Amino acid sequence: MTLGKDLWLLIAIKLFILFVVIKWMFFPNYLETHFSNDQERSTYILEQLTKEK
Amino acid sequence: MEHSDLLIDWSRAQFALTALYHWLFVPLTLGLTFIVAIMETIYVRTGDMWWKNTTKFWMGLLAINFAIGLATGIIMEFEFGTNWSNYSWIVGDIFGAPLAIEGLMAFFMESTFFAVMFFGWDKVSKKMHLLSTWLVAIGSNLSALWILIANGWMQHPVGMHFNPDTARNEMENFFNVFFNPNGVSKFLHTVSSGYVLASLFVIGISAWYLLKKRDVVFAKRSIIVASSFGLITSLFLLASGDEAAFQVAQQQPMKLAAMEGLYKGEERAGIVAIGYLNTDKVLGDTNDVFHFKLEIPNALSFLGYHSLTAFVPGIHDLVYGNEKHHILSVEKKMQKGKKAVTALKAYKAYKKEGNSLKAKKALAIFETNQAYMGYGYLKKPEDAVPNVALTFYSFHTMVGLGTWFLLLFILTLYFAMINEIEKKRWLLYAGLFTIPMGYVAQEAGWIVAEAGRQPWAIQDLLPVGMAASNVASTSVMITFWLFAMLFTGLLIAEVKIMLKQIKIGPEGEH
Repeated sequence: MTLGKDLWLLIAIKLFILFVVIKWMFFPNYLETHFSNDQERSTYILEQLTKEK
Repeated sequence: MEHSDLLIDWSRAQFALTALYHWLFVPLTLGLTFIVAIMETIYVRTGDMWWKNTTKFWMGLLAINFAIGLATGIIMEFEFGTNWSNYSWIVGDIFGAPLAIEGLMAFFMESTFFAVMFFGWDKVSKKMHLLSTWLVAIGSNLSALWILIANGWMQHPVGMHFNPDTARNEMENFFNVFFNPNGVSKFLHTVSSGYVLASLFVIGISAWYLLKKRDVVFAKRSIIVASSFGLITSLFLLASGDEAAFQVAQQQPMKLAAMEGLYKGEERAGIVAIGYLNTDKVLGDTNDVFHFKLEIPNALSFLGYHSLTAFVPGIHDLVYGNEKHHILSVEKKMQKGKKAVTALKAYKAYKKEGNSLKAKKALAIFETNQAYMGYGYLKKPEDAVPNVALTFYSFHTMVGLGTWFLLLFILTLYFAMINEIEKKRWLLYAGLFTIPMGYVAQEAGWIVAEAGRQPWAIQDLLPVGMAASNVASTSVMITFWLFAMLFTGLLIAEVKIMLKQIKIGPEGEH
């Protein structure tokens, strides 16, 4: 079952890159990190939607 | 929200890159699971060990594709949270519910039974193993169902109510969302395209064995199963494509006009079978749209409206309006959209002041014009037009290749059934070289669906420029190239591992 072992290794490396490297380093949730509660998030989005251009 | 065009372009490019790469892996899984399940069913019914070996070979290739494609879609969810946070907030429950159901039900069902399917030979009974294989097929298709329901909602938002206090869409009727005709037709068309791709994959690899004059019986029997499955699902693909086009005509007429390069609306509109667009053509000028075209008369009227004489609006009618056919101009929609945005702002201000009477009036104005809210963010009417050349050529590539696939299935099935397929080397080469064309058709289909609905993230309600987060464009550029490298690496790994297994063949280790 060398194929099986290769695939498990590939899955492990890929998940590490996806969830540890990419998600953690490059993809913080914008609204989660910039605001502390849903009220603030709603207010921010409403401001964005109604801001004068 | 004055996001730079550069940021929006990079955010879109990154999403397009990840979606297109993700879609290189998904459709093969959708279809190959069913082909493997059919082969294993034959094994269980006949008890013929030969079919067991055949099933295990194709299952090995399925496992490679599944393992490498696994979780590539999760990147798009990362992007929603980082690059498309406004959009993610505004879609609210509508995306949350289907994606949660997908995670809980379909993904776990698919993954659990995949383990039994791949590792459970001789560990569980034959019938239990077969059941697991069928559940993998059903589970993987159910995963697609929920994602496509969510995508269908973006193309035709129904079953929700926008809450002006939270700026989120709240689901009012789950069944309206679930049975959204756009989502249903998209699901049927998309999964059946996966069945066709998997059939092409099996035929192409089997053709290679026949060209090499090895594993001949295996290859011929595999071609019979794949051609039969491909032929039936191609016909279904055709029917679901007709329904998808009908839905587009009703809900996204601008996309249909772009698909056909139709600038000036007409009754008894024809479909362009082959056409070469004039790139100098600009909306509103008198240049010809095509350098040349071959047209099937009345076919577009029939495709879009199921009537040979129906009027099909062109891009010009949809942008500048057409009173005779009661088509509102984009300019008027922009005015209504701006009223909605202004009323939403007033509602927020009056609510803050505690003036409930004025807040109620503002809310009434907002609700009257809400259906056009997205137009309030456009700078000029022409912004409502997608990239016509990209949409037109993608659509015609998809349809042209789909027609070829149907013909290929007929030919391979016929010559395999009369036991002459190994003599038809031209057909074997055609089968082999059609594998990449299957992927081209898949990607072209998604380009039509997504590029054709621009500028909208949510049809008529939210343009992509308003959906994006206010992040640095350089960080989006960096992650774009990071993903490009990661996905290219995965694709190379997939092709290399698959080629190695194919060379080993059905008689070897797997």
